[in-house]
Amino acid sequence: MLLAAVAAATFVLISLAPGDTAQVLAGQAGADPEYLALIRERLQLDRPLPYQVGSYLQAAAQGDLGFSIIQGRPVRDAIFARLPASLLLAATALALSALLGVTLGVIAAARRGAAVDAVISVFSLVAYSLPVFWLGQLLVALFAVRLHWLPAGGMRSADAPGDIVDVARHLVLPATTFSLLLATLIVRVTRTATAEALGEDYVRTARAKGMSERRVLLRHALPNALRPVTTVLTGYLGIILTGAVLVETVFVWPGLGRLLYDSVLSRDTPMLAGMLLFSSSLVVTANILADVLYRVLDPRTRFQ
Amino acid sequence: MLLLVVLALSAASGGADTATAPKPLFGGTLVVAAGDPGVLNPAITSSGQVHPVTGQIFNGLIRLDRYFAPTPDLARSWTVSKDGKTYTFQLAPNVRWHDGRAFSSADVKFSYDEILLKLHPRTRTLADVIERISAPSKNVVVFRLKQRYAPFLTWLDEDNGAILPRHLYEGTDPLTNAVNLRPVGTGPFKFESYTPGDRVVLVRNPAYFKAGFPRLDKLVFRNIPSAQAAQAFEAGEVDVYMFPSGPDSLRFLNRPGITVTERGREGLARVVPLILNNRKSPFDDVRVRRAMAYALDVEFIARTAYAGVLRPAKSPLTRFISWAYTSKVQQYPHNVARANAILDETGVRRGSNGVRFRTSLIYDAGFARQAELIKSQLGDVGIVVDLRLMDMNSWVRRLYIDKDFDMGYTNFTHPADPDVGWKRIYLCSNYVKAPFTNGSGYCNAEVDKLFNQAVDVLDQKKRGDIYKKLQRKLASDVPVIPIADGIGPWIYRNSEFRGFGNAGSKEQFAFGEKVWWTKGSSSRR
Repeated sequence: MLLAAVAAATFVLISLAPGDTAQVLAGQAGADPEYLALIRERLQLDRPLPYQVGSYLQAAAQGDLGFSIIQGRPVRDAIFARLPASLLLAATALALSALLGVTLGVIAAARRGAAVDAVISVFSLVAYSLPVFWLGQLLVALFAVRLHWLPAGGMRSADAPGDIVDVARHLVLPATTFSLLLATLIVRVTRTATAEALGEDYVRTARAKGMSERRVLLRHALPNALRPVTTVLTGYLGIILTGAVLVETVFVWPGLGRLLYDSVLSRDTPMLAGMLLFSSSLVVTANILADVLYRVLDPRTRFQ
Repeated sequence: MLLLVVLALSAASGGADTATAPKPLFGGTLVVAAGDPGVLNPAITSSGQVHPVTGQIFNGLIRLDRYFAPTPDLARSWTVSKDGKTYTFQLAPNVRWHDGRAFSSADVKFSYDEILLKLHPRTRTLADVIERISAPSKNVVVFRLKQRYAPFLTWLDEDNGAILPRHLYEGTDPLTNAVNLRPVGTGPFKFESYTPGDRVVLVRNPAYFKAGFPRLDKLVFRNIPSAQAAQAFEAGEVDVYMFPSGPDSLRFLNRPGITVTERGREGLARVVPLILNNRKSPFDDVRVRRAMAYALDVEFIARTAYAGVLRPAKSPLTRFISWAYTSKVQQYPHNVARANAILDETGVRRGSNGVRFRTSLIYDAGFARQAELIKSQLGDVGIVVDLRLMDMNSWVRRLYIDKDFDMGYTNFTHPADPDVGWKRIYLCSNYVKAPFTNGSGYCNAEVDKLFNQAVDVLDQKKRGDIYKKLQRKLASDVPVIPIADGIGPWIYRNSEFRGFGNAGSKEQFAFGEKVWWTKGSSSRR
């Protein structure tokens, strides 16, 4: 139901935007109106909107997401062709950001009010507000153009395609940039949740028993602080697709984010509807996953 | 020793760099920064993202040299009948498709009849001119025209007339045929792989019908948008940078080992116009349009907004179509006093606040600097301009479909022949609701007549005279104000790759055939 609404909304929004696929195909060649009419008829763009939405949903229910004239292949194939690159980038960035975010968040909570806490707060504030475009270009200028340590963009170089080391080298800059972006929120959430946990009775009890501060932090406070962190992390799953648009564009990463961006520019309705359908099912899945994880992390929920 | 050739823009029209180079070597991989092509079917699109790739895989019947004269490609020779209506092409012998099947005249006839004349956004207009195409023998194709049509041969290159394999397209929908993503052509390179958003890889066609070519083993087109391409080029990861911005062109100018040149892009040349809505007051008054032309400092706009890579326009037609071009037309040198005087004369006087009238300019993000300059220069004569930035699709709708605008700014190309790309901007009958047609609404029966006359004249000099007359007429009527003339350069690494500058006016679509690697081996292994 929700997914159908998303698909329908996509059609409505795209039809409200000026221009269509026929115009994009025509380019700047000065195509005649007959050509535009011909293409529109072929793509059923001349049919009323409810008809377009209806026939799309009917086909989508049977697993047929349509054909993208611009991409020259079925929408499903186009999505799956880009998915591995997106997953690789997103998984690496998520892992890095979780590691970085939780570590910094816990340190900040443990040293509340100290200089370290202030430094971490300022760091996450700055990282949060840095434009990805600016940071990305800066990193490329430094590490690729000046130092020649890392490639400027893309996922594989021209001469060593498929080589794991090669892909890893290409992954460093986009994954770092993406994870900095994602980590900032995790730092804030972890710090707050851990700090709150540190004020709880069971922590006072643990300290009273003579437990080391380190043990109190890692065994008692942190596990209880992980629940809100999980919420943030699973929430991020949905942006594997949409959130990576900027990062993928700056680093020329061949993933779904850039496909989304290109499809908006080319008014590729079936491609956009397909991707939004796909990304909303990711969000739904992520929410289910979050519920399952809560049960694992928080024994109380198991008895509800 | 490696001779480093540095070609400044001003010298870009000089000799090809092979003139100074030793004997070509074999092998090597050339990496190109390009756009994501999507479909790899050159016969259904005129997209500038598709043809740099497909031009290496496919051939047309002819290819256009730097001066737009036809040279052999799949057709090794041709004759034109006395009445100018029958073109007979002798095809090159022993041409094979990349899958091994023999190429023949039937492929040519099929490509035109079933695909190009129906689905190519530009070429389909030829359907009005062509009476019939026949293939009397395996190596002969005959085009019979309904009337004399002078620019006919310029339509037959890969860009407008790529020949596709009949055996793979017959009976299918050319728009959705899966072969569009693993193309089979006759060209110097064979398709190897396409990873959307990442790269297209082509490998040498050892059975290419032009003996000895190509010299390179591989072409890799990496999908890198222009903002990132400069850095990839700087980092040494790509060897050819297709569509650099003005500042990027300057950045690489005069660097050893790097060529920045317009040569090989002549076929994409154009004059960039400021489009005025001639059907709306006060732009319906030719005196107002002339005054605006005087008010605009096109030298300054070309020098700053185009970073000097385009020249100020001296005529409505691009200087690259040299047989038809003239700068002996009404010029509008920057003159604020003159502009003010004319505007006073026409009665468009300044109000108490110094403002004559308020108008707006629609443009897309690529032209922000041009728009700012136009605003400020028109402001000097009391014309207040509101700038309206919009995305390309909205821009197209406003200007060409809804016709709801005062002034608009964008690119046009004049591909190879004034009849193909230039006429459409001015022809009264082309004032229709379709993108990149006659946007200004200018309508002049004499102009339409001259344009129609020109295609009937086969003698190039006489035909050129008609276009010169048109330029004088259009410069005097200024339905649009010509701002900048040129193409802008492309950039490649000449320290490692030679042989550029030899593949005609659309070399960007065909460089693979002749380019070679300086570190290659002297014989083909």
